[in-house]
Amino acid sequence: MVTQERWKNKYDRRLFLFLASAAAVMLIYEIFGVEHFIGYYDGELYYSYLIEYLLKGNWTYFEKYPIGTALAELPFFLAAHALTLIVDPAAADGYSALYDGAVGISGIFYYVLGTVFLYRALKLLFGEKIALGINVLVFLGTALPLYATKYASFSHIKTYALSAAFLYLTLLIGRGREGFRTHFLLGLLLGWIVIIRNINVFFVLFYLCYGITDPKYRREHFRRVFSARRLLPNILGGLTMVLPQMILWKIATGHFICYSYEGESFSYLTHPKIFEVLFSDAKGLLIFMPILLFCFLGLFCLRQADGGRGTAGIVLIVLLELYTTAAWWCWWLGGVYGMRSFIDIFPFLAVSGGAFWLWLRERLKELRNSDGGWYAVCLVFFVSAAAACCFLNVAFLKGMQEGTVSETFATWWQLQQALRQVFLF
Amino acid sequence: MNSGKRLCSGGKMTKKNKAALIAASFVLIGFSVFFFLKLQGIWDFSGRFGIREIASSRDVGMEQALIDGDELTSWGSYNYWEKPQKEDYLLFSFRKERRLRQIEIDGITPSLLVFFGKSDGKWSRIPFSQPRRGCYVFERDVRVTDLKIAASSDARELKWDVKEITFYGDAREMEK
Repeated sequence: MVTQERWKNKYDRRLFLFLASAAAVMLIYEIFGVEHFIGYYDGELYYSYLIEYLLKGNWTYFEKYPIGTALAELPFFLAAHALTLIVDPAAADGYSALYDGAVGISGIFYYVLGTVFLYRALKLLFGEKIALGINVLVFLGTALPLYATKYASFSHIKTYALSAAFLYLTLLIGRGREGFRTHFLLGLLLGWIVIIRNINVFFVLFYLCYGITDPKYRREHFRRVFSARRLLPNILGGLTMVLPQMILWKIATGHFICYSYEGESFSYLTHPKIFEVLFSDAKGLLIFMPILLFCFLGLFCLRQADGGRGTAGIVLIVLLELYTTAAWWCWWLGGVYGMRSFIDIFPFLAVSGGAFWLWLRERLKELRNSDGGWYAVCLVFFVSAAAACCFLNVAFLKGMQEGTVSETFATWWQLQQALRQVFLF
Repeated sequence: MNSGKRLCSGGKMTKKNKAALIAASFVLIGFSVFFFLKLQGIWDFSGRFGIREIASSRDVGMEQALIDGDELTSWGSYNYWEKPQKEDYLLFSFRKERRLRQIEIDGITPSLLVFFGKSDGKWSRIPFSQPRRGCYVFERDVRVTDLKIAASSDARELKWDVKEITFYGDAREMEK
């Protein structure tokens, strides 16, 4: 009944069509444009847990990365393993074609899952039209599809999906959804996010700070957050994910908690590389994905979303992501296209993007009532800016795929050449 | 559906909202100008890492060093040498002594590489741990004024098709 009603909603139908098209495009790209999925830098090490634990039985195996990404790949790995055992048992080594393809498929799966949750969250905040529009812009204007395909073995597309689910669940809780299962799931999601990338523990701030800017809501919120009725399932859910990681660390290192990034540190704590993270032509977030500028502008419009209840959490998460990335010794995060750590917080950035869209729509309506000429100018200006950002993103991605733009460190002349190639051909 | 405040003032734009709309437009225009200038190379920090000169046993395909940030640099693109010889090398000279921790080479290099560093006017071979995916980690941080990457005399395959070389220094050291 509910499904039938949902299907009657034209925006839900459009989301389905959009996701089906996006998944088809990504699948075609994976088949014809990606040589392999396992074996991209960190991605190979995440995946190696599955080989060592499940195929070799080596439970003392230890890598600096936690096990959350491997856990997200587990169902796809098991399906590939079962199929390989049926088709060609001799190739059941964890690296043959079916295993590789399974990792690629997992990326598309987590993209679709994350986008469904993000759509639902944005729909609660801004309505269907903006929710759908933001998801389309994220697809066309950012490197997210690349992280769902070529870099599917990395952690980021998984975190995107989980943080979108975490965002949606927090909004539901803020709207009165209670119960053991809901709060257990919230803890589970956060625990999973943490065992994918430990530093992302600060995502909990969205839940903790939800509503602190609203004096009426604040007291009630904190009373509920720290009540046993919520904390107990939260902790149980979190431990369900974190405890296995701690046990595996204990087996491998002798300690339940360890700092696995030995020899690496936040070298730039006092002088973070914020300009480089945002604007360098090697990796700059806003150079490679300029559409995110709208999301940064949207941080000032968050009152538009949910009466501003999520403002503190989202602003803190964006600032902490920026600071921790810029303070890390390897702020450029290695040899992968673009500033990848920000993929993890895309759902939160999407909320601020939606807030900007809503704010702009209100301003344009007001302008239309008072000055039709300026309304037209502003409308064309902002729509053109968004379209130009999508165009730049596609041009740079194309340049990267063709080898014009370096994945490790792009240069201004490579970016320029990528644009020229799009114009010329 | 939307429980948020619309901040709409009954159809008329307030001065505050007008100012905010103008500010948002200027941010976008400013960013567009910045972006355009950036793609013209206005902020090219190629020299910051301190590479004075890049030389090689061949002169094909040499391009300038690049830098964005101050603790790493990448070099060149698509240096393909048609008839590789055992004497082929790449030589990076720095403006002053630099501390290096590891080198990552993207592309194809001879099957065995050797690294030599020049410090206090003397050349010495730099030992490194087993390379993995083009990443050569030195056994200890080295201070060099020049760095030479050459094919080992034991190398069987001599093909060079280097797309990119990335130097990793000690970040704290580079700040000094």
